[in-house]
Amino acid sequence: MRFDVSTELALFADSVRAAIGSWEPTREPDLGSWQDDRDDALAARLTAAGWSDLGSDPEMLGAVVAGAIELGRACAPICLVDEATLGGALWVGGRARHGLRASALVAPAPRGGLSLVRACGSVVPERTLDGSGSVRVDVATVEIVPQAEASARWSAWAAATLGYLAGVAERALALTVAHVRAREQFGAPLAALPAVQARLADAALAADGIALLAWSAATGGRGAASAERAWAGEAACEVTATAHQLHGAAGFALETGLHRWYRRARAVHGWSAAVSAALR
Amino acid sequence: MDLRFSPEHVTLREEADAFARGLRPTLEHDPEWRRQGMLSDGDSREITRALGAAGWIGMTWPIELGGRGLTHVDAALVEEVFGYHWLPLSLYLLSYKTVGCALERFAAPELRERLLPAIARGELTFCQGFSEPGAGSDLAALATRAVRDGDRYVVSGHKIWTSSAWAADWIYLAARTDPDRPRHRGISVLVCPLDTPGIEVRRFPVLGGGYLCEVFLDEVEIPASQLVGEENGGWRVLMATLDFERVTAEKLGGLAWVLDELERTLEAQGRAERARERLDSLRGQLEAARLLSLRAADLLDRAEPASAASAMAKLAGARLAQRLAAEASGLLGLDGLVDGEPDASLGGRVGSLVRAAVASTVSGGAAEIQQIVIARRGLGL
Repeated sequence: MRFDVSTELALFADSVRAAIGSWEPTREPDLGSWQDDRDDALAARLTAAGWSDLGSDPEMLGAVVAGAIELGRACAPICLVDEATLGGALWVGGRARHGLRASALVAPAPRGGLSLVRACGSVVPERTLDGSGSVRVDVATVEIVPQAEASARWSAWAAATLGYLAGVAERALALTVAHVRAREQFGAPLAALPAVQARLADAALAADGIALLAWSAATGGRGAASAERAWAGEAACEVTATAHQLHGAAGFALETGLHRWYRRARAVHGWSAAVSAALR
Repeated sequence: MDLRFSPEHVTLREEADAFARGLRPTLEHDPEWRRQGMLSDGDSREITRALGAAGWIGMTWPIELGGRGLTHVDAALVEEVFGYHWLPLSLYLLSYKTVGCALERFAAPELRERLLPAIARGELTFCQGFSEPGAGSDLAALATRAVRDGDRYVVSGHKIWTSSAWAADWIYLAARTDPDRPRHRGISVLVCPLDTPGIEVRRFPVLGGGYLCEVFLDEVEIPASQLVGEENGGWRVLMATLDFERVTAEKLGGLAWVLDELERTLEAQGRAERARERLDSLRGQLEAARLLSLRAADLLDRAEPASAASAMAKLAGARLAQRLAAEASGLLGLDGLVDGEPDASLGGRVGSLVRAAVASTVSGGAAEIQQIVIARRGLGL
C-alpha cells in the first residue's frame, strides 16, 4: 500500500489546476432562477490539459481522481465529470443535469448498466439548488452500452464523483481554516476557541476520509462504489455546513461565494444517490 | 496512492483468518465472550497465549526480539481479521500494540531483550497505568510520585480506569519524577510486575462487559533499570504510546462483522432494500475509517509524525461504533435489544454493542482530545 500521490499524478493535477485558473461562474446565481454553469471555454482548456474521455480506460483512474479533486476545489461545472467519464450528460429519474446543450445523454440502468438515450418531447429547465442546469425530460434508449464498457465508465464516474466531493470538502475546509485564523472575536482569532477547533477537526476527518475513498476507488476496482459515494456525499454536506457555521454571517452573503460549495455538495450527493438507486 | 492489498497481504489475512476460526470453540465456551460489546474490552489469557504461540504478537518487531519483521500496516490488516472474529484482544492490544511498541522504541536494549520476546510468546502481559483520579484527559496533571533512591525508584500513587490490570502480569506506569519542573517535563515511564510488594489491584464491572481496575501503589520499589526512555522524558514516550494505541483496526474488523451480519439478517427478512441507503452509508463510513486507520499505520511505519492521523483513525472508529450500534438497533427493532443470546439476531451482539459503544468515544483518549490533536497537529490551529 502507498499513501502518497505519485509525481506523475501530482503533475497532472497541476495541469488541471492551471487549466481551471481563476475560473468562476460567469455570474452570481440569482436565487430562484434556472442556472447552468457550463462553460465551453473552460471545457476546451481542460480538454487541452488531457481531461477528456478518461472513462473507458481503467489505467487512467488515478488521473480521473487527481483531476476531479481539482474540479471540486474550484466548484467547476459537474458536467465536466459526466462528459469525461460517461461520455455525455447524465440523465436519471426524468431529469438531466446540464441537459440543455448536451451533445449526448447517458442513463444508468439496472445491474450496473449504461444506456445512450435521446430526449423525447419537451425539455423543461427546472430551478434547482445549484448551477447544475437541471432539465426535466423524457428519454428513449438509443443504444445499450456493452457491459464491460459500462462497468469501466461507472468506475470512472464513481472515482470522479468521489474525487469531486473530496475537492469540495477540502476547499470548504481550507476557506474556513483561513477565515477562523483571520477573524478575531473576544480578543483572539476564532481558531483559538475549542468549540471551533472541534468542529474543524471533525471536518478535517471527513475531508481526509472522502479523499482516501476517492484514491481507493482509483486503485481498488470498486465499480460504482455506491457505499463509498453514499457516505462521502453525506460527509461533504456536513463539511460545507460546518464551513457556513464557522463563517457566520459572512458565509451567508452571496458575494463571499462559500454557498457554491455548500450547494454543490448537496446537488452532487443527491444525483449520486439517484444514480445508485437506478443502478441496482 | 495505491491502496490495494498485495498478494502478501492477502496471504497474511488468510493465515490470520484460519487461526482465528480455530479459536472459535474456545470462545464459545467462554460466557464472558457473548457479553463483550467491544472486543478491545475482552480479557483472555488463554487467547493471548494462543496468539503468542502462533506468532501473532509482536508482528512488527525484529525477529531476534520475537517478532516477524512485518509493518504496522500488516499488523492492522491482521487485527481487522481478528476483530472480525471477535477475539478478546485487550491483553494483546495493551501488551503488544500500546506498551510493547513503545518499549521497542524507547526502552534500553537490556530491558527490551528481557521483555519483548516474552510478550511475543504470549507469556508476559501488560496493563497501562495512565489515568488517575485527578488526571484523565489531562494526563500531565498526574500525581503518582516516583522518587529516585539509589538504583531504584519508590513509587506511590493511585491509578484508575486501568484496563486488564486484574489479568495482566506487569504494569506500564506514568509517574512524576520531578515535581519542580514544568508538568510535562517532570514525568517518567516505568515498568514493573503487578505482584511487586506495595501494589494492590481492585477490579469493578463496567457497562461494556468485563472490568476496569484501580491500582494502588504504596512505596513500590522499581529498579532504575526498568525506566523506559529518559528520566523526566516520559511525555514524549507517552505521546508516542498513544499514537500506536489510536490505530484501532481491530475495532473496525468487529464492526465490519456486525454490518455484514446486519445486512444478511435484513436480507433474510426481506427488509434490506428499504434500508439500503443507510446500509450503504454505513459501509462507506466503515471503508473511510479503515483507510484512515491504515494511513496512520503507514505513517508509523515510516516514522513520520502520526499524531493527527492516528487521532483521526481513533475518532473515525469510535464514531462509527456508536452510529452502527444505534442504526443496527433501530433497524432490527426489538431484536436489536437482545443482549448476548446466542440464538438471537447477530448472536445478541447488537445489544452488547449498544452498551459498549458508549465508551468508544471515551476510552483510549476522549473524542474531544482527538479533536484537539487533529486541530492543533493536523490543521495547525
